[in-house]
Amino acid sequence: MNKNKSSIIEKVFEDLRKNERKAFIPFITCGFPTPDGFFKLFETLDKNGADIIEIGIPFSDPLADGPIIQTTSKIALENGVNTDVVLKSIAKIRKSSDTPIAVMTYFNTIYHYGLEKFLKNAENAGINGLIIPDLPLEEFICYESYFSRVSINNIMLASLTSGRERLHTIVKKSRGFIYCISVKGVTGIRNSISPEVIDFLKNLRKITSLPLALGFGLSSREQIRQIKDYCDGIIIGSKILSLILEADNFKQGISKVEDFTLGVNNILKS
Amino acid sequence: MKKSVKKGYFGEFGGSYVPEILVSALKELEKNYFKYKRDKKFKEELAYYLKNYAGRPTPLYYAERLSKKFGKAKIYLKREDLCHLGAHKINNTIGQTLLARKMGKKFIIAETGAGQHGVATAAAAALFDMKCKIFMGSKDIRRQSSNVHRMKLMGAEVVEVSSGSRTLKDAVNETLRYWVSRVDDTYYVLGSVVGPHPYPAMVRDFQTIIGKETKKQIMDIEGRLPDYIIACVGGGSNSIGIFYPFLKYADSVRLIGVEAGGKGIRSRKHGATLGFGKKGIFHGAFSYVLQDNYGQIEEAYSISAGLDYPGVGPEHSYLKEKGIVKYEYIVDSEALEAFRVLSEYEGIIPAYESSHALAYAAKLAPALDKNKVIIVNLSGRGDKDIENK
Repeated sequence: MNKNKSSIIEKVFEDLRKNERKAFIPFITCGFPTPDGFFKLFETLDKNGADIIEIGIPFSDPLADGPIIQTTSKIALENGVNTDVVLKSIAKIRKSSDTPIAVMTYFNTIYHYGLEKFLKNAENAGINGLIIPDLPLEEFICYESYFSRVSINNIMLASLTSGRERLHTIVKKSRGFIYCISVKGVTGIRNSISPEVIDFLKNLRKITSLPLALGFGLSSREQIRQIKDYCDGIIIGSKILSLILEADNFKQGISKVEDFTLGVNNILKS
Repeated sequence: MKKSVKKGYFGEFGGSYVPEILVSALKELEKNYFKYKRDKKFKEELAYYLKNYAGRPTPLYYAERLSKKFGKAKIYLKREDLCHLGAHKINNTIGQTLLARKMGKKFIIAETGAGQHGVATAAAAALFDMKCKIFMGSKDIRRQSSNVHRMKLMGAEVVEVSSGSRTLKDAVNETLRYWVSRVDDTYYVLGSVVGPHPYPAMVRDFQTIIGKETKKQIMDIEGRLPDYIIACVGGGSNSIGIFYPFLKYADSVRLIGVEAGGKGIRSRKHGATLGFGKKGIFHGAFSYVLQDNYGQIEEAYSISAGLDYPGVGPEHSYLKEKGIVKYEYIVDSEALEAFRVLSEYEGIIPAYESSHALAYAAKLAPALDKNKVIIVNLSGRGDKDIENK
């Protein structure tokens, strides 16, 4: 692993920790709702306090995603988005923003592109982290050496069902942060947080100094108030995308995202 | 991107590319499967139900009139269509449901395309008194309404899947998503030799009974092994089931898997994954996949719903690469012709899936001598295909 190279993503958490603040990490799908709309959405999140932004490369069969991200992925694909378009879009964003970007996608899109080529082009485009929900530890190990040649963090996922032994290895192999999954389920909007999540985060805290970011199923301010003290950041995707999907028009959607982002950030930064 | 051969792999194919939440469930399944696979009592119980419930062994039937129609070679049919519920699928669902019960699971879930696997799962769930949900694409629910009715009669809940292409591929996605949320008390009965480890190996093992019986039967009848074995390949469970005991004889017994050519390869409306797909990761395994230039999964097409799948079992990919099995394709019109011929000449109505294997036998037979022996795996009966016309 590239332990020697400093991680831009980890630095974000370090700075926030000094002030006892938590990271806000929104997720959006590249090319949703339109190729231009995506840039506007990114800009809105960026200007309203997102600390790291997660960008999805849409995939035809998103196994770990619920109905909302399935829909945004489908729309993005219909808009002609592919891996090259995503890389170009991020390179364009990099001209005006240096907010860390983590890309989320399923392994087939990367495998097909060629992992080595993808990592190189992703690094050149300005991507800082990579989240691959269908590349668990056992499979990741076969591809690990490719990551050591670039400054892109492989952000691994930890779940309530992972078990102690696996978690120990997961935290060793991960960089940037640990993506902690708050539900037994797929991404989407839910109203509560299971009490076992708190124990899960406490246990992780004991075994790693890496930042813990919690995602999947987070959408309400109440949930965030409840859980934020146990982690270092909150990842919100479906809720934000649903604000755009459900709005009468894009302008209204953007203004709702703005309000939501400010509200969430107030909680995380207080 | 070479990787060393490891557990759960067939050469470079297979593996377990799944969300983290499923990893522990798959490990639990693997552990239990390998334990019960060697368990005497489990094997006895399985054998009991295969014989007395599913109706095994199925006959190996010499189709004399069909043989004469096609050429000089002798054509035998392995009559999986005579299994309870009309297809080989029951071999696997009894095995997995028994295993689920041993593992203390309360709920059974499964995907289905044409409905054959759904029906076989619903039956096994009824037999072993377990609650069962079947995920089925809304397009398939319309195309295969009689199977929907059969599943409901046997007490299964049919869950309509309206995401994506609304067919088998999306039914698998949705079953996996549901499993992620109920992983503690729910067992996923996967219907083919696809998906993450240990499914490809486990489903193959449960289907190998087809090949074991065939080998014994042909030795009894002909006193020798066949020259050709032909089976259709969608995900690949009936074909691997009949091929497996013959793999070590592949020098003398030619094994041929037949994929769906659909409306022709040029039309891009087909299901010939091994023939025209590329390597990739789909439904949790590394195998051949129908996909575009950016790795997006393409929709397959076939007149036969059971072959209408853009993936294929990883072990088939391995057998293709090693040259142990040859993979061919048959287009819709050829399959339909074979469907008609078998019905007319033998009074056996084959499933559209199995008609692909028959159609290949029709192509092969004319060039062979009269002392050659061909076995076609007749994986299912065709009633479903008439009803849904």
